[in-house]
Amino acid sequence: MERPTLSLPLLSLPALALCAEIYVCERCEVKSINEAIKRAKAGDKVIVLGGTYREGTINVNKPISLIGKNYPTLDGEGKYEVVRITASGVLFSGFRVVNSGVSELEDIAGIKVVNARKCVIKDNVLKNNFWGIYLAKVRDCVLEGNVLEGRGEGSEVYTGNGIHLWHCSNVKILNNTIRRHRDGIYFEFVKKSHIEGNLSEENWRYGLHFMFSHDDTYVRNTFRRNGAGVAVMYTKRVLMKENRFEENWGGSSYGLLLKAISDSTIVNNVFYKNTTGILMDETQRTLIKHNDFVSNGWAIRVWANSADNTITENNFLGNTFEVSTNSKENPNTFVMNYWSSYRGYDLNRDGIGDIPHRPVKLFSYILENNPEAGVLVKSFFVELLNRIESVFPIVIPTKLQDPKPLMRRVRWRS
Amino acid sequence: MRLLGLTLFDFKNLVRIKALWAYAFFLWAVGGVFLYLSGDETKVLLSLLSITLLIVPLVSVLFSITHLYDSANFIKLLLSQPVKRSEVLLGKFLALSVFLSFLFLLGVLPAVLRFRGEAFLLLVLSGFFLTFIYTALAFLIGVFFEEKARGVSVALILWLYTALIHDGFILSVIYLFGDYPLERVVIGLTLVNPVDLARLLVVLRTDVAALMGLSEAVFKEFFGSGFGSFLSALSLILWAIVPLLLALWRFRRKDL
Amino acid sequence: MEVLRVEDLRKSYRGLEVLKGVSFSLSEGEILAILGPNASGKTTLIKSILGHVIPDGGEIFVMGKSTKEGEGYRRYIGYMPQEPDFPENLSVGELLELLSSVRGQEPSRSRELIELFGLSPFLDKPFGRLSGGTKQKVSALLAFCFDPPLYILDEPTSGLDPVASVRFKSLLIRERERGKAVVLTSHIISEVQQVAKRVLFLLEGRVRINAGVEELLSESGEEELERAIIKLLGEER
Repeated sequence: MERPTLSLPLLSLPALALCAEIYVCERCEVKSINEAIKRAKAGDKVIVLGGTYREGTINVNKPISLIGKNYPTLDGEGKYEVVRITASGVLFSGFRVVNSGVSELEDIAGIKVVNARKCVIKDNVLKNNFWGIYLAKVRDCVLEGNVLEGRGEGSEVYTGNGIHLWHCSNVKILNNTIRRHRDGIYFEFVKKSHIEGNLSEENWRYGLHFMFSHDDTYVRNTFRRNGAGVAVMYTKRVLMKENRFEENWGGSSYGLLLKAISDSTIVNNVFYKNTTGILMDETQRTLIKHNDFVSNGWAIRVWANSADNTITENNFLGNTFEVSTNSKENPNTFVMNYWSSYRGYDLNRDGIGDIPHRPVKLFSYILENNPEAGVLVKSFFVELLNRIESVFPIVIPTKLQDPKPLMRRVRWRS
Repeated sequence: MRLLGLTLFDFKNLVRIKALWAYAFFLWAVGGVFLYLSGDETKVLLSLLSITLLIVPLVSVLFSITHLYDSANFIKLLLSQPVKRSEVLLGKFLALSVFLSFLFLLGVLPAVLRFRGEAFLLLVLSGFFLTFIYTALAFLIGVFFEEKARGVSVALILWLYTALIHDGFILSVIYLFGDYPLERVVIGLTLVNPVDLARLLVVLRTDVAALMGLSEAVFKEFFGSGFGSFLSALSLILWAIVPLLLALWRFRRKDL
Repeated sequence: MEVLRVEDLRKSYRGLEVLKGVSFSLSEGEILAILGPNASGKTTLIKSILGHVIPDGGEIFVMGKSTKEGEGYRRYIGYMPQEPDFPENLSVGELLELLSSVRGQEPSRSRELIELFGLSPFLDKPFGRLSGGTKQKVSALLAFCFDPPLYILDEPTSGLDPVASVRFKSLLIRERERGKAVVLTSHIISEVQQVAKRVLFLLEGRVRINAGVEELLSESGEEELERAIIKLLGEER
């Protein structure tokens, strides 16, 4: 299990290095991590060898490095917050953090960082914790390569969020995997942060959920099979780029739900097999460009309270409904998209269809205004209605149209 | 015993009608094409569902009613024997509905065996229900209308209404009265149409139910609840039994 | 012994009286021809006996059993419809089997009759593939093979070729001699004259003539039944 005696001589050569290394293991001199932290000075390394440690809460209150070798297990025994970091400059890496306490009153986490800066939480495995990694009032931290799996119980009530940030700024969240938490990644009042390369799947509620979190960037993440997809709310200037929103399926599930979002950019993403690719609710001045919408129930639903958005050069491929709206007007710009259901022609061969494309079907318009119409899904009458519409588009009650539909798919991928 | 004998002989006759096997073959071929074009379970299921909802009622009602009219003379010969009228009619009904159900099952069997999902079993179940219901309706129409042309027209109109126009009616109601809470009305309107019930029976078990949006929860809750399942099952059973009983009642008092 | 008795039979369709109190009876060894123009009530009368039509009034007894007591009386009847229109895909043998199972009786005379009609090559053929004449023979086979006391034959010779027709008539005469009662309709009155012992002539729902053929001929002094009937009807006016 642990590497005993050989390493002890190393320990007995202290003071030579600038920073000391304190080893913790069953047969080491120091058997408790908390004890090691107590002994450590700022800048020291506490190296924990494999094994299981049940010490209640590990309190990291100095700027030290905690490094696990062979993934030592820190067990909260279903009672404790497992790791609590309250100092800046902490590196926490290589641990298995399991079985945090569960409480209806407190947000008990596997790893909680409070009021700290410059922390690095890296390459840990978190299992069966209430909350996963919880950052409160934290700046300049990096969460990288962690794997989080929530409690297996099938309810969002008894499961907290995977990576939870509250009042943070300039945090980097890189290449983590989050499963079966309530929200995979949750931001509230988080600014200027960068989220890249994460996989967030099979969470009970949202894969990614953020509110009041301006100027954040989301790149190359995958959000898959989450209960309600991804929700971004009450936020300005978000950049979402090269993400994949996949198989978020269910009556109230969305690839991407935009609620009170403005001045944002959504480019080069793929929306595949979601009930709704993007739902735009109170969304303003947002650019949706170079995205692929493939096999969704609805590619885009735009509510009447959304205006001045530009949807251009996207590919709409095999969606049941391409666009749906509850408005007769069209305060947004849909232009130069590729629509796989477009049946027009291009006589002058400039690559742009000669007649406009109307992506809103009568049934989806009625359905948007009257949810009861859902009872007619897959009804032969509705299918027939759609066929008739493609011949006589005059019955569509909304002005929404793409005046310059593209004849060929947009090749935005390099 | 006599009923069984009559049923079996009708069965023997039906088995030898080649046009009926074409029905099974058609379903089988369509299912095969869907399987070939798309290995996707939901797509195959929904394509088969569309065909089922359209073709099964049409074939059941149309074939049963023409068969009934064409057997009028032989029915008279049978009724010159010591047999009850109800036995002759019931025997015909059983033979037709069971054999048509069997052909339907045969037609969708490749897809059912390929996927074995609960939704496919429900598809088979709703196909059976529709077969029995539309055969019963054919008997009702056939017994009430002497003239073949008129009976067949009525059957076609009934099919057209239930398979198509009724949904248009529901959609119009929703469109026109959208400002009022309509969920109960809409549930009521679907409960009275066997084609809608058969459709929801399957659709609510598939991913497509998500396309019902917000109302999915409402309908799922209703049709998934004990009371809702009871009402839908009751409606389907009544749709099969009431026309049959009416047909038997009328047939027993009728001058041939 | 009395095989069939009809008492004051009445029937109307949608207010139109078709049978206005028809009574007659028929004993074993008698062949009765029911004659009359179109819409005279012939068909309704026969249908009433078979149970296809439910009378408004009066009563019918077959072998002493009222038709009101249920379908059981029909075991005494062998019926041969005007047009044999049976399931096309069933073979002659299967049709025989079907009726046998329905009646709960063995077709005791089938062998004899199959031979008489020359039907043995056709037993396994589907009914739909048989010629018109053969179909008629099959129909006769089905009516006779259970050896019931009463035959009801609706235009029995209409589809038969002349040779078969002659044979059929001699069969009827033999059946009469065996004590069967026969009710038959025909539009060829000369044919009736050859086999029938009695004539029941219906007009507008009433029995106008119910008499023996011999009696009719001698009374009218005519040699042909048709003329005799016309003469008698004329005299009544």
